[in-house]
Amino acid sequence: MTSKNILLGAVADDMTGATDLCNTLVAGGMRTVQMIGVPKAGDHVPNADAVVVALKSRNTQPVRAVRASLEAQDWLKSAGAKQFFFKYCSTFDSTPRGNIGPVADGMLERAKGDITIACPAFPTNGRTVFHGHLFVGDVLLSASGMRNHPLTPMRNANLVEVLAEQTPYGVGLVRWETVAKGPQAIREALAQLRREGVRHAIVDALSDKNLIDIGRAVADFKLITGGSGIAMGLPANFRASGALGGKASAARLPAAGGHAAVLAGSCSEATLGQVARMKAKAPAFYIDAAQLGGKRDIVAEALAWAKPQLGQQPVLIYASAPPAEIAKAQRKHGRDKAGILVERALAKIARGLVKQGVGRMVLAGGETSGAAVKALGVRGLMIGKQIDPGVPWTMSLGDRPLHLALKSGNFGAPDFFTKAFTVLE
Amino acid sequence: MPGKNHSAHDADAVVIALATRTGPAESAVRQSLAALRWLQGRGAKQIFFKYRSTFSSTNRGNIGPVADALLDAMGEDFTVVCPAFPTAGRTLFQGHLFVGNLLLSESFMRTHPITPMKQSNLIKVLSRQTEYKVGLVPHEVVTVGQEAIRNHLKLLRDAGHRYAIVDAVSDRNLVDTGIACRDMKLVTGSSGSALALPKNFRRAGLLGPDSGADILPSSKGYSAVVAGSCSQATLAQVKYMKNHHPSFYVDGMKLGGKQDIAKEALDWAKPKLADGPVLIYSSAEADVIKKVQRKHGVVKSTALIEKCLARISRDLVRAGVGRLIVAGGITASESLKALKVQSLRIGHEINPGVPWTTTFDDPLIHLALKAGDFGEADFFTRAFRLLK
Repeated sequence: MTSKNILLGAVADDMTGATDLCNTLVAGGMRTVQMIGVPKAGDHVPNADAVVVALKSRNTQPVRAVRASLEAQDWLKSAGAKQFFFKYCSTFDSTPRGNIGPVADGMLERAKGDITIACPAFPTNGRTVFHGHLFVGDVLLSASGMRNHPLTPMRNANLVEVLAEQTPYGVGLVRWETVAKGPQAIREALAQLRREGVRHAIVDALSDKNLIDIGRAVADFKLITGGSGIAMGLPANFRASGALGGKASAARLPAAGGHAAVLAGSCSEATLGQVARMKAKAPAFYIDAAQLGGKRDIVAEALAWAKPQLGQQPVLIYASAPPAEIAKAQRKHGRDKAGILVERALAKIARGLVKQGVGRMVLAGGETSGAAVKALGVRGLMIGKQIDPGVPWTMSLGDRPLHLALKSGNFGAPDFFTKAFTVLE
Repeated sequence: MPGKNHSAHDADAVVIALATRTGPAESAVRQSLAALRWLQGRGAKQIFFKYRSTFSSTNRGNIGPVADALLDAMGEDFTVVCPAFPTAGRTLFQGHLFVGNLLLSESFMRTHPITPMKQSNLIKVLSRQTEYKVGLVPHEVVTVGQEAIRNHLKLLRDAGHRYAIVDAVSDRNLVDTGIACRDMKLVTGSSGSALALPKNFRRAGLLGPDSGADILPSSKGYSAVVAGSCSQATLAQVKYMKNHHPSFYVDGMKLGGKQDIAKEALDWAKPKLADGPVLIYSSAEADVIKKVQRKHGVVKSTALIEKCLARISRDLVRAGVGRLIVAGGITASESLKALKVQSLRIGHEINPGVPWTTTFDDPLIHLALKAGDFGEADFFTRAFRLLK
């Protein structure tokens, strides 16, 4: 049965971020489906309360990001969405050109709203916003690993300033002192900012309670923007209005089958740690990015290596490497090309592994996940229970369902890869 | 520093005001230790080292060296560091000090002439001033309450830390932290962090109820303001007062020469005093101060200005001023010295952190000593109104 009555329609600027948002909504009791890429007019969605469209619009040209986001928004509207959500990274990954500002502006206009909030806070993962400043754990965003991110280096932790560079409209702030007073105070502060002509309100949040209160305060907003944390308060709004039932079983997936594998492309510190941990215990194959694009068929080598191992225990195939190794590959191929070569190789390997009988797969890294899911022809995912905060198991829509865990690069505990398969059993 | 035989005036708490924020660390340590001995001699159960809520200091000190010396002298190995003062807009989150919505390093303190604060992470700031380990009690712990704070402090101490920076974004956080520190021999922080200390003593049965602790005798005499601070807040206050009352500018460029500026100021002020408050100020924008500093040198220009202002304060009192506001930490301490005021009785607050006070001895003067960056634009006039 195709759902025509979804409540919340979300657009996420990357794959794992979308999964992360789905996870939050499922935990709040909303049956959630994640669509990969802009859905087509005839795309069928099982009965769901929320649909999250995962784009790859974080690092594209702003114009393209806006166009894709609006197409997704139109589809969500036709599926019945009452409220829209624009999901981006909890580290506010963007550059002075965008894409957070331009996409938020576009979606707000399309939704006929006149103010939205920007709240990337996710306290469970150590992302807090205080006086408009984004913290990663106990360091400022601008002093965190994000400072030297290759695509979206974040050198300013003051989000009011960061967002103001990306939009021609007014950017305001709802301070923690106000947020701490609860939904009514937040609502009043937002109304005041709106009267002052502010279109984007950065909202402080230090705790889940703050996020829930903010969520409550924006129940009537046409568009909400932020990290997945801010979605925590939204299910309760729909429940209060009678549009959503109880919380039970939103996370239930059919049973899993097939062999188990991990594909890692992310080079974040968390993933490097997870790779090191799994390598010590399981068969592992390293894809050297510098070797790609030459005569050797590394993909075939990886698959030939994997074949006899499958079925006994999960195997690991990874291109994750420390910055020095990456720099070597980037020198050889050029920065963008190196990334594309790695993604393409891992995507082919994912497809090959499924042909060899893999039915349970963990994908580490936003880009890797996006490319692999595309190669597998997966159009949408039903969201199941979480492995670590922000990373759930999912099951692909369609005739031959696969169980997939799509992990954002810097998420998860060191034992994430092995733990994931235990959770599924 | 009070004399050996100076009375503690039957008070529950005595605060010794030194002028040790700037200047050599050795001298700050020596004076602080002398003060410690005096307080210990009067039976103090707990010692508090108060510094500015903007953590004003340099890589050489003086917060680290003074705290180190106090701990050593007391035979202690651990204390808290809590400069937050939320009511005055100073909050501490993940060890980062905010002034209003700005990080310390983006606030007016960034370009402070003597203690420029270019780093907001106080763990880093304090670590440069002490060889001991500095840890953090983060917001997520503080917000749980005093028991959690106490446990975390113990954890840090057991892990070999000597200092625990404690986050605080609200008065509630400060109160909880204060309660968690009730058995600590030395506490350090801003005035805000002392919020819970009376409660601790009251609970221990050492202190009675708090009615009337801030009632002062009534004021008399003329009113005057002497301002030396060049902070943004004081500059705004000077500007506001200038629009409503007669004012006299003490030009640093004219000091150190033959002209007796202090006398000129007094001659100007005397005939006006009977008509209402007057303002005498050296406060000026940074570029003006730079010019003065280029002429006299940085250290000398401060000394010239402060000496002149202190003399003006003294002579104003001699001319019948009984209500005097002094703006600026150094200006205040130099003025007290010139007035030979050794101790003050503390009354009600004008603004968070700035109370009216009186001297103990004859003649009884009402004094308000305002830290540079405290108070709204109308602080001076409002302060006088509160006395009536």
